[in-house]
Amino acid sequence: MTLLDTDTATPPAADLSDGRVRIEDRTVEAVDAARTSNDHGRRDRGRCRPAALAPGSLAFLGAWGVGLAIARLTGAAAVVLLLVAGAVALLGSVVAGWWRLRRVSVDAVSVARTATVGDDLILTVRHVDPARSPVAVQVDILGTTCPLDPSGSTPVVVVAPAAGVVVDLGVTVRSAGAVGVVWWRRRSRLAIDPLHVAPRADGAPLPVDRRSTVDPGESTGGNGPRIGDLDGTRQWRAGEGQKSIHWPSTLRSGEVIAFDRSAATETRWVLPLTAEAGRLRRTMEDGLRHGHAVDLEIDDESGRTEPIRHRDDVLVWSAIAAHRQTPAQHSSPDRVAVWKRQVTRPARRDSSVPLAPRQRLLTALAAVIALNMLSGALDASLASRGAVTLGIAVATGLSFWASAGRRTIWIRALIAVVALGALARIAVESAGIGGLLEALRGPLPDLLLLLVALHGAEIVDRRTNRVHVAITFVVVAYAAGLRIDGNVGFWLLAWGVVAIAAMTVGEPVSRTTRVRIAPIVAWCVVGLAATIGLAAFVPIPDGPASLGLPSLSPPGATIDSSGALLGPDGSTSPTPPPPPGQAPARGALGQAGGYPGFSDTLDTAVRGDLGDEVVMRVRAPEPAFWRGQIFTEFDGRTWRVTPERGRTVQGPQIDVRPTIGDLPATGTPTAEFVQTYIVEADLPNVIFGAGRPQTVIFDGSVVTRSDGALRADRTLTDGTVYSVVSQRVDVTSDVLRAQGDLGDFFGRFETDPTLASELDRFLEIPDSTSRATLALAADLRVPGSTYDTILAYQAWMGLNTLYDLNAPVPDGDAVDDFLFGSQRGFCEQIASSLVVMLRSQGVPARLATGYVPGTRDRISGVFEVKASDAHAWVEVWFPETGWEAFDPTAEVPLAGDADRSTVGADAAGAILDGALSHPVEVGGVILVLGAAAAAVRGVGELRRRRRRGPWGLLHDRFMQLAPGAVTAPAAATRLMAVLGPDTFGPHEVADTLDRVAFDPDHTPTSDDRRRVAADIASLERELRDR
Amino acid sequence: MNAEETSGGAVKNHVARADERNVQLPPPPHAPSVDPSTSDTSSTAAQLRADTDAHTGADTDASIDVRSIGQELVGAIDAVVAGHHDVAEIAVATLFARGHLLIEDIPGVGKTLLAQVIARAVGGSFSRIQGTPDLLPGDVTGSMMPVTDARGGTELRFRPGPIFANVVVFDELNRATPRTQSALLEAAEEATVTVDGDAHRLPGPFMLVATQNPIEIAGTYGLGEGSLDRFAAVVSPGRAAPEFELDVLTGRRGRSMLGAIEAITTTARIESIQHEVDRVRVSDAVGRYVVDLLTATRTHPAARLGASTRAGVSLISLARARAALHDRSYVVADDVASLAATSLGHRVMVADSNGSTTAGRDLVAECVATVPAPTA
Repeated sequence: MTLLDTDTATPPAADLSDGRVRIEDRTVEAVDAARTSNDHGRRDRGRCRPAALAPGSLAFLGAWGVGLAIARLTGAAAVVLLLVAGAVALLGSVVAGWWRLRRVSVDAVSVARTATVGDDLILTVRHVDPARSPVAVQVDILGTTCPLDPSGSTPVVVVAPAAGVVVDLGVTVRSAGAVGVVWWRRRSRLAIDPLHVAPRADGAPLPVDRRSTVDPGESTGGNGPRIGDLDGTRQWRAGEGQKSIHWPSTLRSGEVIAFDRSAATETRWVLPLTAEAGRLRRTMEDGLRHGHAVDLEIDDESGRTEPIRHRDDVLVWSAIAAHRQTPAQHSSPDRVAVWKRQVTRPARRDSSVPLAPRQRLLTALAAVIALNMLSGALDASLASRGAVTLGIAVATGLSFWASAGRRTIWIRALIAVVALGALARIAVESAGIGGLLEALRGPLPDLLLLLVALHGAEIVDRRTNRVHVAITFVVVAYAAGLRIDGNVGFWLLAWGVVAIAAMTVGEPVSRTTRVRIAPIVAWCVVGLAATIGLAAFVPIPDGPASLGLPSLSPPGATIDSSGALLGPDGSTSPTPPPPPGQAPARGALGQAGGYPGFSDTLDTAVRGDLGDEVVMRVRAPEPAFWRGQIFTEFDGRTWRVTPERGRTVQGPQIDVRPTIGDLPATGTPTAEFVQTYIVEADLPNVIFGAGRPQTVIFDGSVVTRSDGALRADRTLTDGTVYSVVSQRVDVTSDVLRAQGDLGDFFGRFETDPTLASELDRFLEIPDSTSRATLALAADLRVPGSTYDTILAYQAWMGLNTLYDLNAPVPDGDAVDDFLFGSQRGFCEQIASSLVVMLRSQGVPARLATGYVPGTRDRISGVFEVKASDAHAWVEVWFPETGWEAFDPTAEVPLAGDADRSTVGADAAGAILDGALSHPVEVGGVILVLGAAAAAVRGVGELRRRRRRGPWGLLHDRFMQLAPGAVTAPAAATRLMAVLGPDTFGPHEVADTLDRVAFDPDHTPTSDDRRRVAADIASLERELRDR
Repeated sequence: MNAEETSGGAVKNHVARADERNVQLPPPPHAPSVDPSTSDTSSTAAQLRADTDAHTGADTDASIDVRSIGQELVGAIDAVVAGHHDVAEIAVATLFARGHLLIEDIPGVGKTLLAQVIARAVGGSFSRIQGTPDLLPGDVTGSMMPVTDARGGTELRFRPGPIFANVVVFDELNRATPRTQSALLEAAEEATVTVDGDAHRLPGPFMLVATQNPIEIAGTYGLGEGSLDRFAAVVSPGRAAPEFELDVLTGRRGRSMLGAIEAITTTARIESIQHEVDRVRVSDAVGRYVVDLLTATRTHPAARLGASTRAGVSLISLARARAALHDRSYVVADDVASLAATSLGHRVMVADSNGSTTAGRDLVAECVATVPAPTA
């Protein structure tokens, strides 16, 4: 509130002829100028600034933080994607609030001319909203809050501020968009008609100067002022004595009625404007009440006086007096704050008002999706899923009950009992918990489920609704962290759509308002693009931080600490060697984990028919060989592991000592590479790991063998989880090439007896190696670079041999047979050939078996490893970087060369691939969705047509031509104004429509209808052409 | 005006009232769709209409005239009072609806002129009363006066006051004391003056056109809610546009033209028009619309007291008159919407209105904007 400056407020000239008191010409001109210069609705444009967080928004930030922790703990790419999408949604809602605010402005605030301090005062706030969407507006002034009407004009009752003259008001418009996370505000000043806030009448009456009495008292015989004759009655005025009351009228009307006396002027009072305002008012009122002609003396040089003839004059002048006396105390402006946000129900959206039922149901659906997603991740039974869904349904019913105001004590008691019981059960359950992972999979999710179900009963307003959606966000993040199957993307999508709908969708305002699809689609597309674009900058998470490495060992077949190999079925017997001279048995080895490479001896002639069963899932940021076994001894046909056994280390945290060749030279860049293995089929007790395992988190003991392989003390049955932190050297082809010829390098150590004996194990070639093999190896050797030699060998094999799982069983030396005999073979034979050729050139090499990375699910970021992904490859010892895996068949890039993908690129790729590989399905879904939307629209339209009837529809069409008109003739008048006076049609159409609607004797013909329809169509054309 | 005319008017008025009782409610509106029951309904409606016609008899031919007479009256007012076509139309509609009109405006905008022109154009008797604080009820209604007859005896005989005229213009109504105001308004409402136990009927048609100045209220007696309620319409013409003002200043319009106004109709025709107006049909949809509007004024946050049922009845009769003016035999929603502010504005009590009816009119206009109008 700005008060007039003291110097501009003096001396006001009252102009009673048009019923308005003018403060002063200068002031009025200034006010008028301010209005005209800012006209056309631009008066209110200020800067949009963030104002505050909406209630319940902090829950989103909290949930996002929890999601971040989950992402750190699990390293799940899906959680990262969810976090990015959540961030985009939050940012989007912030922007939406700003966007909404830009389009709304307060046009004018009108207010009564006079008021008394402390009295209720009615302001009328008019606002402009081109979007014409339903809005709830609240005006907040001096602690008075009032919900406003969306019609554009709203009366607000406030308490009149301090005494003085108010010429403009600070107006704050606030908006938070549909989701409403952050309030935006825009402050501006609006000129109003001067409001005179008069002080209360108090204090003793001022001494009255009676020197200028007009009637010196002749009428009363010189006995001072006497009041005139009785000539009627009027309402009693405060301060009058009991004698003035006219009791018969008072009893008749119920109001206090007083005698009215003639307005005969007896005395003229002249009062100084400088007098104390409260006393001045009191004196003026007394004077008026007693029928005096009261005049006010303006204390400027002119000595002008102003007549006070009515109560309004009293208020105006006492306000001006108060204003002139104490300008300083009004320096802090009061404000009109207009709270505004987009809602679906006019003026009924503050936190004490029930939520729209639709919104409530959508929130419940989001909770159901989230909880079922979590239950699925935990392999919960159908019954428990049903129980969870039922719990949410009951909670939803309770919340409806509560929002209807029928909350009773026994419901609270029931909820408390259920909660206590569930807590007790969780406590009992968690008594036997050993590890973090068990807690993460057992009591914690139960607690979450309980929390969600209980909180569901509390949703009564927008704030609790937000909090609930935030809780389901945490549940979804949790589930996305735990879930490792390929459906995570669909779950996330379903939850996201429902959650956003639950935040934004509300009740329809009127039956004629329609939801516009185009902006919704536009927001969705922009949101999706922003999510993927932002996620494209987020690398695939490195995997869980060491704090939360999960491990879990369900009971399997155990063995003592001997470190012997156990088959998936728990048998210790190695694969029986085939009788000499006979082809070994081929075909299924019985079990998914029954790859021959996971035994002490590997017959290169044997390759099981392994099938496509998923044996394990690996969560890791990049693809790598999941190595299980290392073979060094080769006799030309069969590989054998070193008989030496290593030390046994008790879990859960197992440090693996480096073995020979594992330590890269100092200064070589290395990185931690975290993998979590989730076993899904019974496997032997082989612990897999990429690169050089440094730490294994395993719930049991592990034998760390001297050759680098790891064996557990039990078979890894379905459900086992363990994590491995490996050291991975960032190897690039340049680094390998720079290490030169390894044959020359290691040749220098032949003189050292200890080193030579260590090296010999990796350089020994079988006796049966043919001359042709040696000659080939020597021929293809690239001088000065072993790396290029390996590439040359691989290239030669690629040109001259065929990969064939059904290669004939070799008779003699497997290498010779593969290279020069059948020239067909599978990975074991190919890798064996490469090892022999490298060893013949003095390069230390060995054979490794395990699994290739498998296929990566690009949403959850988990590698899915099938039984058929079992593989054998070559490891070559590079002195500076350690053992390096090479494989002629599997395309696994070098660690340093691998392009680290990002979450966004993966998600975009997954969406694109999904759409491109299933064009029919995607098209079908789009068609079905489109058809469903069209059907809903169509049914709505049909219902509207049935409800409105043919003439009603014509009426609606006609009224749309002139928005804002109430009746058809009014619309016709507006149309004439727009189209010009020569237009034919509007009034004729309006007359016909009205006649049909209201004339009981008139039965319209179909010709009438056609004619009116044609007229309306031509009017529509004319309007369009304009 | 002499006593014969007065009594004749009273008799006619009596007949008219009897007719009014016979007029039945219009049949409910039927849907425009082709329905087998439609023919039945319309035949009933036709029957009703025939019945009504039989009762009113000779007045049937007047039905053709409503629009043309109305337009002539409006034209006559327009010719004198510059630039207030809408007010002229409301005034004529009020006359046709047997209502009374209150013109509330600042001095010098032609309030009295408007009233006079109506009186002249109607062609009946006309009287003008100036409201002053010392005006007594008897000065308005008439009183018992001692009369010496031929035989020399003296008896008290009723001498009619100025209210016994077809059009009564009461200037500055709020300057008369509440006593006088009540006497006048009661007489206007009842169309009867009772003195010494004898009832004297006012001539028919009877229309009261009162004026008041809402600004200068020192020494005045503001009309109470009950008094205001007796007026069918309150209009504030406001200042005329500059071009019309020029007409007035140069004598092309205004008081100088008043003498040129000839009586356009007769009182008998006006009465038949009033009967005609009574026969205008009001469909249930329009009735419901009026009810919705009344409810809206009652629930409006700024209203201390909403419009009464009588206000709704009065609005409907005004709407009927407007429909007849537009040559329609049925009321449309637009009639109600365009007359609502005029007819309801002064019957709504608005907080902090300071005695003016402008706030009430604004409130009703807001209600009209928000309440959905009925359609086909």
